[in-house]
Amino acid sequence: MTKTLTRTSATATALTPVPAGVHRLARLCRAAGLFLLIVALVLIAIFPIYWMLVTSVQPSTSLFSWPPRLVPSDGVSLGAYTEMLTSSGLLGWVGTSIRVSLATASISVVAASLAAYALSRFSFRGSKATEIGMLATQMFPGILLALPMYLVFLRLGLVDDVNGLTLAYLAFIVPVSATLLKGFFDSIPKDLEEASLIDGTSRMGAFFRVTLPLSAPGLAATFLFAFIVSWNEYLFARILVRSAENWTISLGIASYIGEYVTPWDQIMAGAVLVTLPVAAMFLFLQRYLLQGLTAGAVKG
Amino acid sequence: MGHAELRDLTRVFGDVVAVDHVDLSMADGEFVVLVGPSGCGKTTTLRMIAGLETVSSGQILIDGSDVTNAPPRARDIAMVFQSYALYPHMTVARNLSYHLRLRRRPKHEINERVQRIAAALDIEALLDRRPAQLSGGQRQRVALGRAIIREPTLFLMDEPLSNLDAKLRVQTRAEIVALQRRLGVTTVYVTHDQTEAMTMGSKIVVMKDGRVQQIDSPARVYSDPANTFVAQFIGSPAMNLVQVELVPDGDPVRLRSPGGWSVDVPEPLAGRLRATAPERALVMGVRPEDLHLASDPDSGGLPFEVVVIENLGHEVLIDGTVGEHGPRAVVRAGTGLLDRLRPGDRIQVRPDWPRVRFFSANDGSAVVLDQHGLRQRDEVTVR
Amino acid sequence: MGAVAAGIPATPGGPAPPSPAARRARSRSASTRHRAAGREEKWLPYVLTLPILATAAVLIFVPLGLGIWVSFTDADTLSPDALTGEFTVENYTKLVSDGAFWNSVRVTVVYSVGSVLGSLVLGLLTAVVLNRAFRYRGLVRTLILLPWAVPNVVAVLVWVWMYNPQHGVLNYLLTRLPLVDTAPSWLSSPSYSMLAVIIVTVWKSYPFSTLMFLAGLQGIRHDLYEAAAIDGANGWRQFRDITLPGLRSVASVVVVLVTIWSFGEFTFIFLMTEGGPAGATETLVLNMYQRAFRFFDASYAFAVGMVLLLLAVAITAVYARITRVRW
Repeated sequence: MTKTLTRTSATATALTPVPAGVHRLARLCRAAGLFLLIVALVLIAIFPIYWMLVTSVQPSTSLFSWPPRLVPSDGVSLGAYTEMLTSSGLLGWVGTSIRVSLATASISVVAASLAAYALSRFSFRGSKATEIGMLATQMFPGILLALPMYLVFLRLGLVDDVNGLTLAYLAFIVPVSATLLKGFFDSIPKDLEEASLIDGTSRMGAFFRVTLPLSAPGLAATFLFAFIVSWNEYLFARILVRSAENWTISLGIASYIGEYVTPWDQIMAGAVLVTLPVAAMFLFLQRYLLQGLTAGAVKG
Repeated sequence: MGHAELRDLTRVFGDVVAVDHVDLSMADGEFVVLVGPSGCGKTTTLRMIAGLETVSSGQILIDGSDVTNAPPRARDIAMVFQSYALYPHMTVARNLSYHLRLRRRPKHEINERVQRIAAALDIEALLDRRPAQLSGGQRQRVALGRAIIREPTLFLMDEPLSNLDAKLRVQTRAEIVALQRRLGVTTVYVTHDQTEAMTMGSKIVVMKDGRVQQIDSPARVYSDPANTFVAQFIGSPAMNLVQVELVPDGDPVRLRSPGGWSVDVPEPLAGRLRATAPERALVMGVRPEDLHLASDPDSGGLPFEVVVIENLGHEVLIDGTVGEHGPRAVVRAGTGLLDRLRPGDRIQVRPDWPRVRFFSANDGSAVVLDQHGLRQRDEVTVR
Repeated sequence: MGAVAAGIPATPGGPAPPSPAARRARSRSASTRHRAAGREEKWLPYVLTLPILATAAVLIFVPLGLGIWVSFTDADTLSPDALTGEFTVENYTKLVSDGAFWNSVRVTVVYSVGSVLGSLVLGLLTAVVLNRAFRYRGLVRTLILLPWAVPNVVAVLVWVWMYNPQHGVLNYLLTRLPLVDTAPSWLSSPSYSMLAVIIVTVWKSYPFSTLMFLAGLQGIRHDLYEAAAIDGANGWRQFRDITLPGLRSVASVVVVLVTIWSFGEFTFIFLMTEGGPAGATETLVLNMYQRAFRFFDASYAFAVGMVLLLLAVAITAVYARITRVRW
């Protein structure tokens, strides 16, 4: 085998007399090309995020200097952060967002886990339709739901109400959560529940004692997912919330856009503060999310 | 006590009959093996006994009481799953004690029983581990322990050995049989492996397409298969089957092959065959070990053309055809032949006539020979 | 012989040719979900799905139904009174001759196609690069996924700041490039605002495409490339003949999902341009929003919404077909 290979390459060399150095050069060029491509792609992805960070620590005096300081060469200032935390509505918006997001995530996980379990383990009249319906809710533009919901909530007195907003979020987050959780439940062998049935539990007993503890990672992922979605949501909040004291974080920081004097350093500081926690959760979750979002679209 | 009975048990999935009118009774302490190819309904039957599958029609009785619609927890059964189904979030000790804890047994009793079972199965050192930290063989033992700690009326086992490697499988096979003898608990064991069925069962139920083909002792299933399916499914290599035509009014009585050759039938078999109707298409069944190489080419055997000779070390399997281009057949012989036989050789094989079985060429069912001649098996009803 | 003569225990009924039904039993599909015995199994799934179905009924179907109803009325107020209008199809006849409506159909298509193409190309390129082995690949992968993790509103803020015509870093970088001497006022220029909005949309959505394509690439068996290499295919031929066909199903899923998302997109456009300038970025969603909240013409807004709904249903049907969801 070795002999054959050696002979073949010898023949190749004889046919095209290329010095070994040319091959090495070509490989080097290719490596350099790949390196430049990677650098370019990374820059596309993170330059805006980098710029957000740099702006947020820029002393406000050099904010509008030309050319812009691509690195914080005028020194680092945390003034924008203290300003944002002390004399803006930021903390209030964060409080509202935490309240809405926590409520949405908790209720979503409970309601979704029951339905997801039923859909994962039983085949019953309407189960297929329910499953498809849940998937379909992800497909419709939010405004188709938000606008009529606004009319209904006006009548029910739920507009400009934190609970009303939570209710609206539940409408589209519960179905997605159930789709995600069904995937988790599907991955737990039903043998385990059957073993539990034989060992002496009822069906619900098996669910609570075996399936649920085993789905803890899935439940956590779904909870975080629901939390992030409600934390980042803008459209429903914009339509259903009016007064500034009920603003969520999205409404709050978006309110700076279009003002005459824009304190970009403070806005970017606020942006950094609201992004950090959810971005961390998001990166942790992305592999679960992909599974749920594609719902079997990718094999393997 | 632990006797159980299935009466006319049927399970339909949509328009598919998975289990088709199965009747089976299991005496106390019996080791019943349900065996058959995949999709034959054996697992569905077991799951109905366990209460994991609804029954379409028929009845299940355990110790005389009707449990057809009872949930699994009300049946006093234990089950070993093919996947073992150990709870991944519990230690071995908690896996073993799960049932006892659900039943709220006193703590000291639970501990005592866990210790005793762990000692019996040699898994004491593993009690604090999680299933993920165990080898396949260890998991299998824990699964077994979880079943026997309950001291149930009925053990159900669904291919419990199929995830073990070949060597461990043979060893565990013997252990399970010994354990079952010692505990004396009635056991229903599902397998697709006829060797397991033969070596473990005290009663074998052969199934195919949802129907029971034969219920018998291992020896009888092997020697007197109820039909050609059982004949070929049980035993390895399978029973040789050869189409023949009976010529009863000649002297001697002959069996004629469509392949052109014929063979004389000796007494007393000849007499029994003679006592029957004139001409009849039959399938002759002979086990590989019941075919002997004839030293004399004209000794009244079947013509046999050698195709392949497989040396298994302790014996030789001669693979060939009966007659030219005839049906395939296997002959089991001693290793002494190796020097004398070559592929392509044309020899004679003589059947051990008392062990030869006949089946109807129509539907494959076994034909019973007595003094009155041929009689279809189905007239004999045995429950 | 005695044993045989004495009669062999046999099964009642004896062996019979298997019925067609029984033969089918062999191929009993594994997807048949088991139903355990017991009465509780009958009602349990209904009880478990009740909360979600009730939620969906009240919070999704009722509003959606109301929306459909309102679009067929003459309601011209955005208040509970909107629900008591008189039946008419006038909104739909008005739509046909409404230039602003047709403009937003065009804008929606341009925006969606731009977003999908950008996301597809950038996502595929990134995935192919990430699929190669190099040092710090894990770190690079995380960095490239970061845009996905940034909240939409934050992404808008950052980009609006970067687009700033006087002080924005983007224009500074652009003018530093050779041959570029334009410094567009991105968001207030009718010719650049669509591009600006698409760029942000692509920046936010391409990491998703990347992840999907990466999963697809990892699903392509490695020995196919080895076989192709032995058959003499160079890198480009391998990409064309193995990678691209292998990614076809993933690509169609990406296309449909990004299309659906860009169709319904509100936050990016609303916060950056509010549909302007002069309707240059007014998609159907923005058109509907402005109809409702600027002109308070509820019924007309919902009529626009119904067009949106029909388009969404059409795309969803395509998606269902691609992912083989059975309806």
